[in-house]
Amino acid sequence: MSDTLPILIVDDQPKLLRLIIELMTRLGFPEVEGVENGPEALERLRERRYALVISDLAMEPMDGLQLLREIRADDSLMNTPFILTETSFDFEDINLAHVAGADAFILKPFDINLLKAKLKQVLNRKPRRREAPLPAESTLSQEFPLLGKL
Amino acid sequence: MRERVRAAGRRLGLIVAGFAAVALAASFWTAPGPRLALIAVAAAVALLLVLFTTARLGRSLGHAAEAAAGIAGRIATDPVLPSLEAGRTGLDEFDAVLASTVALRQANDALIEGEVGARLKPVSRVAEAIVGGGIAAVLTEPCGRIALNTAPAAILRKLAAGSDEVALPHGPRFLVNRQELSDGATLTLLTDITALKRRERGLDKRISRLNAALDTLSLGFLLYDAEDRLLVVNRRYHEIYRLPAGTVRPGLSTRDVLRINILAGHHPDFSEAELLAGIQEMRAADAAPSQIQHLADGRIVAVEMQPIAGGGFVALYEDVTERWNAETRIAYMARHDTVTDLPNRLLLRERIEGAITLARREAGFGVLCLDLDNFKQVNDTLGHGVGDELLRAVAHRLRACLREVDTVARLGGDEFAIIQAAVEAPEEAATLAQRILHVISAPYALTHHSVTVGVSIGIALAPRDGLEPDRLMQCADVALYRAKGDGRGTFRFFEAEMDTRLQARRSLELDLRAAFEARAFDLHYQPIYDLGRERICGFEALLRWTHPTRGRVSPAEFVPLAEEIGLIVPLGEWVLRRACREAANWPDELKVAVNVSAVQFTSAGLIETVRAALAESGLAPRRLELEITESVLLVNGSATMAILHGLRALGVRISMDDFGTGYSSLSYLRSFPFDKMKVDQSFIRDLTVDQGSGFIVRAVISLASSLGMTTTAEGVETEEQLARLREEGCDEVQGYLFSPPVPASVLPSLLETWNGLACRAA
Repeated sequence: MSDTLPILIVDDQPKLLRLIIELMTRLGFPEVEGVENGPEALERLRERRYALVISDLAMEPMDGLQLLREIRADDSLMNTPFILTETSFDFEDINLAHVAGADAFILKPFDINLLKAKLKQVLNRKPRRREAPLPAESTLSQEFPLLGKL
Repeated sequence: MRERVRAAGRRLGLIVAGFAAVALAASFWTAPGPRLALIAVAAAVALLLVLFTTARLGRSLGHAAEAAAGIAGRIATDPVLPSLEAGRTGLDEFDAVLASTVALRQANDALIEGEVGARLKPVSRVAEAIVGGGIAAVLTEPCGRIALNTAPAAILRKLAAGSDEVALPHGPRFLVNRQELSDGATLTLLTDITALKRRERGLDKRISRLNAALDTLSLGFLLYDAEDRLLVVNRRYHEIYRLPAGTVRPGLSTRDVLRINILAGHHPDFSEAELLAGIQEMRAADAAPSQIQHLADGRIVAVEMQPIAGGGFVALYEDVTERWNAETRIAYMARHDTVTDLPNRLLLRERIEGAITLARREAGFGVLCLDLDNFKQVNDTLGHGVGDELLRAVAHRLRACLREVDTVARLGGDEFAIIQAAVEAPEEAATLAQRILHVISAPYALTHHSVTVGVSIGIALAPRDGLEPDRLMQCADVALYRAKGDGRGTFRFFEAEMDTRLQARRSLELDLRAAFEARAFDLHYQPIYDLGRERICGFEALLRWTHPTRGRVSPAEFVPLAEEIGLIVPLGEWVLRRACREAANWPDELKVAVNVSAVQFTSAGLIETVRAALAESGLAPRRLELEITESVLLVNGSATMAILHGLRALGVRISMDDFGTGYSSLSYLRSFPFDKMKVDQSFIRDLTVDQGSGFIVRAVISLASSLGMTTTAEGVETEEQLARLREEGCDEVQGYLFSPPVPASVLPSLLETWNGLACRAA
């Protein structure tokens, strides 16, 4: 658990936001901040460093996925650990989020033990490197001219 | 002698004493003249006596001395030793000296004898040998004349100058030894070596046999002594190392032999020092005795070295190329899928374990489980040949999506698995999964057909989801299951919440078992209404379970679970007995229908269970109906048939349940004479709808009727449906229109309502 940097919670339901902030504080995070939408989150992120962002997926005007993409695209922010929350698993969303670079998912309401485990995994991860993305198109036809025929 | 001298001395003394006495006596005579004359006469007499005594002494001593000298002389010189008795001198002292002389003589004689004897023995031995033994001697004078010969004449003729051996025609062989003597003569000694030669020949034969054996040995053989010098080498060694015969000769050192091999190009990857060190290692008594050499020309040689007593060692060489290749092939086949040549489950597991070791130190990795959608269709419609071709094509495409460090394996059927190495973040696995979806779903132009398949993928990540092979595979599998369940053609990551579902299932299982122990189940009964006679003709017994916290758990959920955990047989037995007991209390016209699971049919004791339930309850067999689904007939046809007939023989009735919903096959109807057919509620639901199942239901009822079976319609909920069924000639109906399943306690009132019966309380 990182003690020096704050963590950021993003959720458009104020009650839920307060609940999560409370929970994270009780878990031992000394500084827990909360915002109610994506753009505000980005603002905060550009002001100071955060150890972790926990964001709801379904939000307006910017949903969690978009927020994630913005963060990952930004060189200075790309290594910020990011956890998405949702009330139910929409796996297609999860897949998209995975591709976009989400670190973990968790269902609301949180299972505390699960949350702790995921926090541990996410916060102990190695930092991302900016490297050439895997080709979106497969190189099949270039490497194996005959393969197209298969 | 001392005695004689003393005696003479005494005598002399006496004489002197006598003279002195006379002189004394004369002194008393006073006349001087006679006194002087007396003394003079006395003196003269005394003198004469002295002379006489000494002369006598002298003579006797002289005699003795002479005698002694004579005897001594004889003792010294006589060839035969005279004994002392031969002469005594009479004087002890002389005798003593003579005795000493005798002793001296004896000693001398003995000494000489010994000398002579000693000198005489070798000579006599030689003489013995020459005269009577295995040595023959020929003494030749300088002029050529033979002075001495103990050899057979035949030999003499053969004795050519200079030959070392002579042999007689009939066998005996002699070794010839010539010696020049100082006087020019030649002494020739012949030793019989016939036996020796024979032994030598025997030895030679043995050696040549051993050499032949060594050369025909299938192993290469080297024997070194304690100084690392080669003693023995065989032909096979040269063959194995393709060296010209005789290249490796006895006398060479290990280093020399090594150099020869290095020059021949056999060990291109090693230095001489390394190879020598290797040899020293293998020679140590406690080291592993055998090693494998990979020769430059591709052959494999097994080398074994053993130290031997005395410090040397033996090296054995075997060409094991064939065996090595065969074993490599077998090991390969044991780890690879035969159709696609991909690693199989076994190798996959090994790779996962390897990846786990790395994951602990450095990087995470991903495990992806893949399932081909509609592969079964391809296999079934186009045949296994095409199916295999497709699998190979899929394997090829999968490999093309991956890097060298990744692994793709075929688990069997249409299942594949991938280990994606060095995965730091989930998006890497997600991207790969997307790529795979895209690549695999592209059409395949196979030899004779063009096919398309889809793929479902389940992803587990290490170390996030676990660090054990089984655990990771299970998570990926759960995720795959989810992907398939969510419509296929997609991928799913394992989420821990998925696993909670597993956990929930596990806890349900435990509760189910506990409920069974506690007999916490219940049977509810749903009336079956006879349309012809307009009364309830029986009840279907249905299992109910009320979970302590979850409430009512539907049979659809817990019966499959019970089947999986092997609880269905005892549970089914309990249901049968309970139902029979309950039914025994009903009026005679009422029957009870009990569902029997396909799993119960695999237990041979089913017939016995039914019989026991009937006997225990006293229920007449014709009042019991067993409802089985078509799936029962799918499993193990003939055994199942036997059980069905056995049940029939008990007198119970058999109904086919849920007709039309499974892999319906009309031949099943022919295979066993069912008593009843139950039309599934899905058909009844659509019965009164336009373009509904009316025709089907009609056909089914007609079919059943012509086969002599009664029909029961399930799930009747509306009057319309009921009317329609009556029209079509359906025999029995069941459904909420009449009553939902109810506890046994409610039955009497139901019966009273519908049948006007007062029923005994259960």
